[in-house]
Amino acid sequence: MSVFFHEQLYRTNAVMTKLKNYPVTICGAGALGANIAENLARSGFDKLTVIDCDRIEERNLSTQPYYRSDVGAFKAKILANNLYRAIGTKVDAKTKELTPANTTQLLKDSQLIVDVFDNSVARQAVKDYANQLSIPCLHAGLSADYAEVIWNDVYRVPSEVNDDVCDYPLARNLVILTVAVTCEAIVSFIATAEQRNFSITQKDLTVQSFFE
Amino acid sequence: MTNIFKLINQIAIAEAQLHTTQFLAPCVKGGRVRTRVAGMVYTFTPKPSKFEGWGIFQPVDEKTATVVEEADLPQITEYLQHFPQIRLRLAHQLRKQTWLAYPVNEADVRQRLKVVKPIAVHLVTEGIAFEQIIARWNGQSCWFEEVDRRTDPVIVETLQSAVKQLIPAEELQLKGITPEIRTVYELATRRIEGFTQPQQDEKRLRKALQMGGGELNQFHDRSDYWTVDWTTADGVRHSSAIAKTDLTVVSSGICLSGRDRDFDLQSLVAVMEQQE
Repeated sequence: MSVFFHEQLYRTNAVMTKLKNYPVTICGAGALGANIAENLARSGFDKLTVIDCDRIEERNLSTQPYYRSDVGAFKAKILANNLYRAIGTKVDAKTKELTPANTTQLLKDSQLIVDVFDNSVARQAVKDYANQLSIPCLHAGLSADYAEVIWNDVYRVPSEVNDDVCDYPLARNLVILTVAVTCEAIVSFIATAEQRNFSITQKDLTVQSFFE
Repeated sequence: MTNIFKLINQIAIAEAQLHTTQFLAPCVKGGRVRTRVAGMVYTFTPKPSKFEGWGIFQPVDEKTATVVEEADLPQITEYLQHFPQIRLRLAHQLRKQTWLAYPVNEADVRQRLKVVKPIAVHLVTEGIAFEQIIARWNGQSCWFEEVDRRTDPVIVETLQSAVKQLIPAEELQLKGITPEIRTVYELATRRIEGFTQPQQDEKRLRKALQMGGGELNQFHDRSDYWTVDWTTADGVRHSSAIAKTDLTVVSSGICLSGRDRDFDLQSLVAVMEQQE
């Protein structure tokens, strides 16, 4: 019996084989990135790369799957180690800062990019690279009680004004809801090639199709 | 009978291959690394000589092997899987990443290793005193694999608290105590009479926090920094990463807009209190 027994029963063997062999790069290992990586790995993805140069801080522990003893260590490294220990999935962890100069080097092996960075410079670099090489790229982002999950064609990078702000309101439930929607958008894209965009609001618990 | 020239030739080919082959090995600081080719063991001094950890090595000559890169967890795990697992409880740090530990189950270790005694475990990267770990015994040395997640973390906290209260081993009482736990506690406390480095570190951290108005709960050694668990005057707990060299903040736990290094442990207390 496989680790992914229940997922397999739901998705079918054909889809599970696609997920296993689909190279996905997750840009960011914070609230969204770390939980998306864990969710995808536990859903059967076996070719995951995570890029993040940040270290774990105490304030991350409410929204990110790290331990107190991890404070001070690299997020991507700890995430990869935890997932290997948990289910044996080898995540490729890159503890480098993604910039327009190194996107090719960091993203070259991915067939699908998930952008969950916390700053517009890196988001723009990912969007430009995905556009240039026509690689499918899904952007997920949060703002107070609202979240968006949007594919590259429709996505606009948010203003730089909100960059480098760390003390923002963020509800764990919205994070987890957004993670689930993002992962479902990824799986359904791989299974059907359809790119679905979503907006999510926490207070009324709605998940709706996103219209530009 | 084997032709001696053929045998020498085989060894020469194997040796030639060695110089183009990378190998994985654990290495303690100041130690040497080994690999086996055609049944013969080759020993090398690592370059850099101060390297400590799991490395991928490339032989450069008969005596030296350079560190190509640090091995990742899957590679380390694959290596360790060749050796039997033993469960140990850490007693105290001997040096850097080497700890003295004691078996969790004496009967089990007696059956497998024929002898029960405190064991030095190498490359302990995430251990704290009294933590139960899984290690691998290769017949000569014991290598750390991971913290044993199956055990009750309360045991560790209770034992650490008992050390702070200077409770003698024979008076130690906790739910689920075993003779092995008492032995580990004895091993750990036996050395506390003298003024040791961890005590000096604790004194330094406690003093810095007290001057700022905070209180130290516990701290863990993370090679070049400590993870410090402390409390502000109004009782809020924090975990911060603090540099060993000058007690500057590596990671505060709150947002300091990338200016963490501008603060030290003492000034961090006031910053945290203002946040609250």
